Amino acid sequence: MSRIDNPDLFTVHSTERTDGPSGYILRQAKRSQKGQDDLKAVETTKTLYVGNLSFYTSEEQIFELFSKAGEITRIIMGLDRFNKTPCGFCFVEYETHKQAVDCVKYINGTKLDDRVVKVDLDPGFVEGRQYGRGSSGGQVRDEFRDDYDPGRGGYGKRWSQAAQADRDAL
Amino acid sequence: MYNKYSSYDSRPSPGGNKRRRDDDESDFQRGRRAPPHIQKLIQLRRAIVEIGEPSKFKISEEIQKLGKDLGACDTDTRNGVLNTILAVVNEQPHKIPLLSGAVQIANAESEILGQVVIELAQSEIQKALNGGELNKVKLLIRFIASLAPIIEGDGVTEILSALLSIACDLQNEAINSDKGSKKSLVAEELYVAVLLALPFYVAADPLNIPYANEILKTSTERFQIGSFQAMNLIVPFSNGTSTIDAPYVAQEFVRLVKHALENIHSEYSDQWKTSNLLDIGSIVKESLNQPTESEDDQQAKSVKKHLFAAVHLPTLDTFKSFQPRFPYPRIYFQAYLPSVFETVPPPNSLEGVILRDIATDIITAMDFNRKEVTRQLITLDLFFADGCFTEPGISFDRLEKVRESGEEKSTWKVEDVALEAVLQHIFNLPYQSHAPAYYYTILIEACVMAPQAIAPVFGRAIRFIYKNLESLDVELVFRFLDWFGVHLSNFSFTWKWKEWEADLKLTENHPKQVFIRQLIEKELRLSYPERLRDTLPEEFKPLLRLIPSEPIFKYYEADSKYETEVRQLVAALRSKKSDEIQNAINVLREKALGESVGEHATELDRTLIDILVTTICYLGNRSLSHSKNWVSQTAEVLKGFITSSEDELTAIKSIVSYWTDLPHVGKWVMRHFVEANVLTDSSVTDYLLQGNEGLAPIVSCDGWEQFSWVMDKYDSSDDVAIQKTSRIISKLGLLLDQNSDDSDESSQWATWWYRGVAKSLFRKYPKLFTKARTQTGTVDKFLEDLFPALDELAELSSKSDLASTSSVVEINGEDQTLADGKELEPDMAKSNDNRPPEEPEPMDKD
Repeated sequence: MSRIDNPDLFTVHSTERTDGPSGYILRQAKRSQKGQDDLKAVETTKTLYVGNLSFYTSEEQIFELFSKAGEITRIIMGLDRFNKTPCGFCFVEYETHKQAVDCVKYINGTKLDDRVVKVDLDPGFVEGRQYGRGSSGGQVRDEFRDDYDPGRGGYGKRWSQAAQADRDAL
Repeated sequence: MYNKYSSYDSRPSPGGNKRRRDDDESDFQRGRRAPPHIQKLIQLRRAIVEIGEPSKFKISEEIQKLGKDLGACDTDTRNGVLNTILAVVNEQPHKIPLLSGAVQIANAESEILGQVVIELAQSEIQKALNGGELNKVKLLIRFIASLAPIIEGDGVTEILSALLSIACDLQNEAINSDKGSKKSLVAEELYVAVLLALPFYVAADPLNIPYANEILKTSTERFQIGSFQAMNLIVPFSNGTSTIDAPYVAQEFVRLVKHALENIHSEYSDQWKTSNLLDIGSIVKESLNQPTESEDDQQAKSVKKHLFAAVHLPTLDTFKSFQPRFPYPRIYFQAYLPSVFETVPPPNSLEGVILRDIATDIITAMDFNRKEVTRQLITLDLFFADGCFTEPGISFDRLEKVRESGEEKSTWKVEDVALEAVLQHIFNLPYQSHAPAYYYTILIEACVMAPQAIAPVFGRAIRFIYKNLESLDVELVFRFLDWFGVHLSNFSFTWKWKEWEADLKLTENHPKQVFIRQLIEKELRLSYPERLRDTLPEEFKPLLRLIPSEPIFKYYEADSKYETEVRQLVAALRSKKSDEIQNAINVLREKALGESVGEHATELDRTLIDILVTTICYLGNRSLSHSKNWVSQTAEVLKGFITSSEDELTAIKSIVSYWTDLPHVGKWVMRHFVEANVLTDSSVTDYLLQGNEGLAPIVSCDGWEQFSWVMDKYDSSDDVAIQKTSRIISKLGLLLDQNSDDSDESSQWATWWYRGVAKSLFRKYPKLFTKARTQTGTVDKFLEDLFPALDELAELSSKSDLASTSSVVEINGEDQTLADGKELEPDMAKSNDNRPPEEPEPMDKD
């Protein structure tokens, strides 16, 4: 067997847990003090980051699905920095940490509005995080995508700009 | 060997160590290789957890290989795998016999391994007993029973007998007590634990049969299962009306285990019908008898046995203080009744109880990896003898043909066994042990992993439950809706609606009619009408409502008499200046007086309340966060108008009417009003139990959820909560009275719903209702008849303290919210939390 496993795998459980911090959080923790603080924070967090939503998915739809994992106290929709329209992610806050973890275990990777949603523990919402960080206002991932995703504004913004420029040149 | 599960066998392929740019890829996997001894340890751990799973080796070869590897390992490695063995015992009990086989083989190689495993099991049993973890005790004694061939003397029978004896003593005490329930659920749990260890004890070595018989005999003679009066309150299906029969008589798990075990041995007592269990004993023997290469045969054949040290048992009183795993008697849920032939083992068979028990344990213990849970469940057949199940994934039709051909082969389908076990959890009463999303997504994973094998099995369960809706418990009707709605949303909303077409013609309140409507309603919430339109046949399309992009604000409509004044009110509310708001309200009052609605003071108030509440709904319609903000900011103003329970009812109707097209949003908005203390919870329950026009609102998923949301916060030691509950009983009585004239079919079904609601509520909150009923006058005969059963439930739930820790936390969380609400200044100071501010652009730019 050539796969390299985590040396701690199977010491407590007979299979891998799926409710730990995301790879993103783990990587950030190696890079900065803030990353380490965030890693600490997700151990008790009640907040989730939810990604890969369609731009058209409403807060109520999210409420409907996510309340099946616990009592939601608040949902913060991710918005395009410029247009203030939904841009495909949100934060969901639960009443307890356990409910947030349950949601990662049970709902991460299932479909909402015909899309497979991504659910990760989040260190906690702070004002400003509801806005996309991509240069065109949405999420960074939507800048560079080269696939056509009708639920997220078609092609990636850079890609469609380049395509437009090509057409203009003709 | 052909790997029949290749499509969902998640084991790594050789050489599968490619770097991936996946976000989820942990760093260690990119790092350096672990040193060889660590790698060896990891390999061994993996071999332990994957024992018996699809592989190119036969199961006997796998067990032997693992045994040899375990026997050959050094001290560090040995200590390193012990926890892994425990983890498998606790989380994947179907692998217990295989592991014990490997340990026995290892023991022949290296005595010390057998010794440390048995010592470990002993100390773990002790720990579990001290901590009242009876399910762990059950699995560990199953492990010990499987290891019997390497345990010295009477070690195994002693612990089994001792636990049985405690079970008997506890149970006798309950039965002989003058008052109260005749059941000790802790006793039953221990009894089941011991009985379910016996088949494994025998399968490990047939020489154990006389000892097992002895224990079984004692259990039959001494253990008397206590009667339970409240069965009709905790069964999933019950006889609805005189013409409706439950599809089966639900049975207590403990009685099924008793039946299964007592029928397992033949009259001659020298044989146990355990042929469907893996014959681990033979695999071990075969391995031990193999000529070894270097050592002399004599040594290889001798079995080294170890002492299983006596366990210190807690006192009877300590046992009584343990919390049973199931607060009420455990019921066996069925969804696959035999039509022509069985697709699942009968509930009272050994295989039936063992499989259900194993599946329940896997589901409960491994919730942190639902895909793995699913994979284990739908491959459970691999852990039973060949021929126990029919081939996996076989279609129903083909199975029928095989059967018709006259072959004496098993027709049990592992998919049916797996799904039925998950459904057991969805439909478990009184409550589910995990958040419902878990069970829904296990079933979704199953359909994704093996669509062709699972989808038809899934469909059969749906059809069975739907067909028997008239006898299904009302709370379970709502759970059924909730689950099926989510499921459909994951599979493009495809369902053969046509099958239910005829049911559209049923009378309005018929359960099937209500079910279809609410299912579409559920789908709408996870999707939108345009998306669903194509998934529904013509006949069903009228059930899809057109939902306007924004709810209609009636006071802005052309026919509104108050448009100007309401616009002024909206502007004033947005300005957040109390004098402007007061001014706008005064103007409104004048206008209303002018419209001569003010002949009666109450009528004027009603009008103003409706305008105010509807306006707040309108202002907060952008999102639930906006709504919550607006309600808490205007709470003080609203409270000035809403002062009586009639006022509250007016306000509730305003909310419901504004959100008529999105009733679930209305439900959440109503909560905002309660959280801000503008509405009392009693007015919410009053409203939900009001049945003047059509069915009372509680007869819907939303209504039921809302009701539970209120009652979950009631504490049975709080007199106020008891009074509120008493009021609920009276209202339930009223509802039942209103429909006592069963002249037409629709009101008969209304009664059916209300009775079901009452039953479900009583079962869910027995302590509250049993206390409250003494404060309530005469009520409907139906309710009166439920009271004795209610008392029994209340007693059991006090014993096991129904209030789970999570609900306590929720109550605390709630208090917090209410306290926050109170802190808001009357002048509607801007809420101090950091939720997104009010929309930058007013949305009524019209």
